[in-house]
Amino acid sequence: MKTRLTDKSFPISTLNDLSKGVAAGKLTRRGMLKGLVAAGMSAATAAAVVKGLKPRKARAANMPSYEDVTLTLAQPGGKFGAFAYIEAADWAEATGAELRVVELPGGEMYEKVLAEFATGGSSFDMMLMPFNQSADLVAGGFAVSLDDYIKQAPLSASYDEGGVEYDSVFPVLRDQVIWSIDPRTEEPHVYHINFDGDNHQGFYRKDWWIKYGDEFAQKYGYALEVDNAWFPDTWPKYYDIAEFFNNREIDGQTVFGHHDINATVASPWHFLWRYTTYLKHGTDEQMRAGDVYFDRETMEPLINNEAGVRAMEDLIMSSSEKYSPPNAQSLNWGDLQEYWQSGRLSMGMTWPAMQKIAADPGRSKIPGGMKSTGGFIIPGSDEVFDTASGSWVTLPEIRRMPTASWGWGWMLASTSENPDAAYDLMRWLCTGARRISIELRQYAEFEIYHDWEFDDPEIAAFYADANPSYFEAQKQSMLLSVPDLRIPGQKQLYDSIVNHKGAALEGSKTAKEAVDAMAEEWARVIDQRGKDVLKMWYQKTTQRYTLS
Amino acid sequence: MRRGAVPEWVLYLAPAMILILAISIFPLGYAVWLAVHNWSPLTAANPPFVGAGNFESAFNDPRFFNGIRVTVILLAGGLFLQGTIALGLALLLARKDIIGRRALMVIAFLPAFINPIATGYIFRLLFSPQGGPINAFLSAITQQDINIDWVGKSGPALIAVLVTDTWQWTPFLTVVFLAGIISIRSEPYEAALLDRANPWQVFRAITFPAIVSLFVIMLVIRGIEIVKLFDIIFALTSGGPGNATETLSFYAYQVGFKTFQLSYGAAIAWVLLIAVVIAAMVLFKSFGKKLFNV
Repeated sequence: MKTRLTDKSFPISTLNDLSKGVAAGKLTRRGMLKGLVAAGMSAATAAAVVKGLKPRKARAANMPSYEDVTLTLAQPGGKFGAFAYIEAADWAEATGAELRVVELPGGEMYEKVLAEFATGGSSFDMMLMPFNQSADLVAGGFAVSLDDYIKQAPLSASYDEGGVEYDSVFPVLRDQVIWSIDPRTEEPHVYHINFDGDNHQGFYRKDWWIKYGDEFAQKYGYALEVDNAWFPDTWPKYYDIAEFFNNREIDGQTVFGHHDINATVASPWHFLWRYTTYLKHGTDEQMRAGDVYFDRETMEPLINNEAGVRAMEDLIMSSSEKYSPPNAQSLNWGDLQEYWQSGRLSMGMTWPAMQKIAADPGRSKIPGGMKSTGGFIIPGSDEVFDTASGSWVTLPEIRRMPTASWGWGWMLASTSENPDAAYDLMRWLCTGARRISIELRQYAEFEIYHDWEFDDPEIAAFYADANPSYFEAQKQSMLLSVPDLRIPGQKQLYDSIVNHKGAALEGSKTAKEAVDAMAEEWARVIDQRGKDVLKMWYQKTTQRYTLS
Repeated sequence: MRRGAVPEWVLYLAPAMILILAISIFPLGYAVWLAVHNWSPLTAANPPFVGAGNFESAFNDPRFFNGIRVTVILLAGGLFLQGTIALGLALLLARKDIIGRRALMVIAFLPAFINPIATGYIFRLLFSPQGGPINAFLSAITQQDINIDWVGKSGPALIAVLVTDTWQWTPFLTVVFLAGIISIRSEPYEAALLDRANPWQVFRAITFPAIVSLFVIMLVIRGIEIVKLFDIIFALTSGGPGNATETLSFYAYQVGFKTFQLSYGAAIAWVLLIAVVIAAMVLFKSFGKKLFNV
C-alpha cells in the first residue's frame, strides 16, 4: 500500500515555498535557514545539516532506526534539489539519521562528483546522477551494484513492504538505463534507483492551434490536430507549423514558431532526435536499445552517415528566422523556458516539464496555464537512411524514434559507510507518496516513471488540463525512445556534438563537415580510451536486462 | 668552516627555496609526469606510461590547432588594441589642461578591479542579442535595426572576447604608461618647444623612446595574460560557438577538467608553456640591448 501525502495546505514546490512553511509554523525557522543556506552555498563546499526539519505527516510504518547514522547526499542544488529539505528531511526525522546535503550545479554533476572520487576525497554516501553520465563512475569503481538490495524484496514491493516498486518502472528506464557494467567481471548490474523519468517530447499552444486552425488548414491543406499526441507526425509538418506561427502578432506581441536548444545543456538531443528519425540501423528494437551511435563490431562512429548529415541540415534550416526567433543559433535551455513561459513561443521540443511550467503561476504568463497547452511525440519519417544498404529507403509507414534523454537516478557510493541506510533513503525518495509530492509540487524538474503514476488520482487531476495529449505523449515516447549513449567518455562525446553543431549552425562548417568532424573526434576518443574496452561497454549497454 | 658542514647561506635560503619548490617547481614537475602518463579517474591508482603519446595526440588534434589559431588572433588583436588605446589615453591624461583629469584617472582604472568572471557575465548581458544594450546602442547611432548575434557567430564572438578583455585591461596599461610619461623630465619638451616641433614629432622623438622599455615589457606581460585567457571566455562564450573562441588554455581546461583527460590537458599546457617561453626569449634576445642597455 502506498502512503500518500494529502496535506494540500502546504504546497511546497520550491525553496521559496519553504518560507511559507515557516510562516505557517510547519517548519522550524532553524531548519528553514539551514535549508536556504545549503541552497545558496557553492559546489563542493556546500553542505548543510538538515536534521531538525519537522515532519509534516505521519509516516509509513516499520521505518528502521538510523540514530547514529549521518548520510552525505550529492545532488543538484536550487529548486531541483528542494526534495532534500522536504521528503528526505521527513525520512531523517523518522529514522533519526542526520543528512548532509552537498549541492552541486546540475549541469556539472559529472565533473564535480568524479573529481571527488578520483582525488580520493569523497565522503558521499549517495549521488543523484544523470543516467547517461554514470558509466565513468561505475568504471572507476566508485559506485556499488544495487542488485542484491533490490532483490531483498519482491520486485513489485512498495517501500512499506521493503521494496522499491521496481516492477512498475517503465521498461526503458527499468531494463536498460539504470544498468551499467561491473568493470571487474564485465557483467551488467543495476547501479541506479530511478528518481526521474525523462524523455523528450513536443509541447505547443493549444489555444493558438484552435484559434488559427482554419487559417492554417487553408494555407497548408491539412488541419492542426489538437489533443492528438501523434500530430505532427513528420518533420515537414512540424516546420510548417513553426513557419505559420513565426513572427505572428498574437495578443499584442510578436510570437515565434519554435526554437531548438542550440547551446549548452540539452543541445545534443536536438541533433540526435533528427538523426534517429532518419536512421535505419538494424531493427527498430536494436535502435530502441540504443544501438545507433557506433558500429558495434568495429566501433566506427555512425553519426556522419547520410542520416546524420540530413539531421544537421534540418537543424540548420529550422534555426533560421523563417521558423525561429532571431539568433536561434545561440539559444539555450533557459531561453527556451523564457520564450515559452512569457507566451512568445508556439511550440518546441524538450522535457515534458514545459507543460508543467505553463501551470506555474510564479513563472507562466500563458493565459489558461496548462489548459492552453498540448503535447506530442517527436515527429518521425518514412524516409530513412539504411546503413545496411547504404541508401535511403521508404518505410511502409511513418516511424517515430524519439529519445529517452538524460533522466536521474540515485547511485550508492563505494565510499559509503552506511550503505543500508543510504539504500533505505533511496527507496523512500523514489516510491509512493514522495513521488506524488515531488512530481506535483516541484514544478518543472522531475517526471513520471512508474506505470501507476499515470493512474494516480492526484497526478491525473493535476494534469487534467493538459491531457490527453500530455500523458499520451509521455507514455508513448517512453515506449518508442532510444536511450542515451552510456559508455565511459559519454560526456566527451556529447560535448563534441555541441561543439560541431555550434560550428554548423553559425556557418563556419557545412552540415557534412560538422558531422565528419564529430565522427573524427569520436573515433579519437574511442582510440584514446581503448577501443576494446569501450566496444565491450557499448555492446553490453545496448541491451535490455531482467533482474532475476 | 668545518668540512662537511652546511654553509650558512644555504640555511638562510632554505625556507624560501622549499616554498618555491613546493608551490612552483613541484606542480610543474607533476604536470610533466602527468603529461607522459595516461591518468584518468579509471586509472588513477596506476596510470600507464605513454611517453610522448599525449603530445603526439595533440599534434594530430584539429582542436589543438584551432586553439593555437584562436590564441594567436586574440593575442595579436588584444595587444594592438590595448597597446594603442592605452598609449593614447595615457598621452591624453598626461596633459595637465584636461578638466577633471584626476577623476578621469580613477574612473579609467576601475575596470581593472572587477573580477574577470563577473566582467564576462556583465558583457554577456551587454552583448545579448535579445535586447542587449550594445545592439541597441549600435542601432541608435546607425539609425538601423542592428541585431548582431555576438556570442552565436564566430566572428562577432571573437570580437566580443577582444572587446571585453580590452575593456578590462586597457586601463591598467594606461595607468602604467601614464606613470612612465609623467616621469619624463621636462627639459627635452622645452627644447622641442623652442625648435617648434609638432606633437607627432614630440611623441616620436621624445615620449615614445623614453617609455619604449615600459611599453614592450607591459605588452609582454599582457601577451602572457592573453595567452592564459580563461575566465572571460568561460563566462562570455564558453569557447563557442562551436570552438570559435576556444583558446589553447581553455581547451586544456576542457580536456583536463571537463572530461578528465588530465594527462592530455597537461601535455597541451606544456606545449603552451614552452611556446610562451620561446616567444619571450626571442623577444628579449631581439630587443634586450635596445630596451635595457644590456
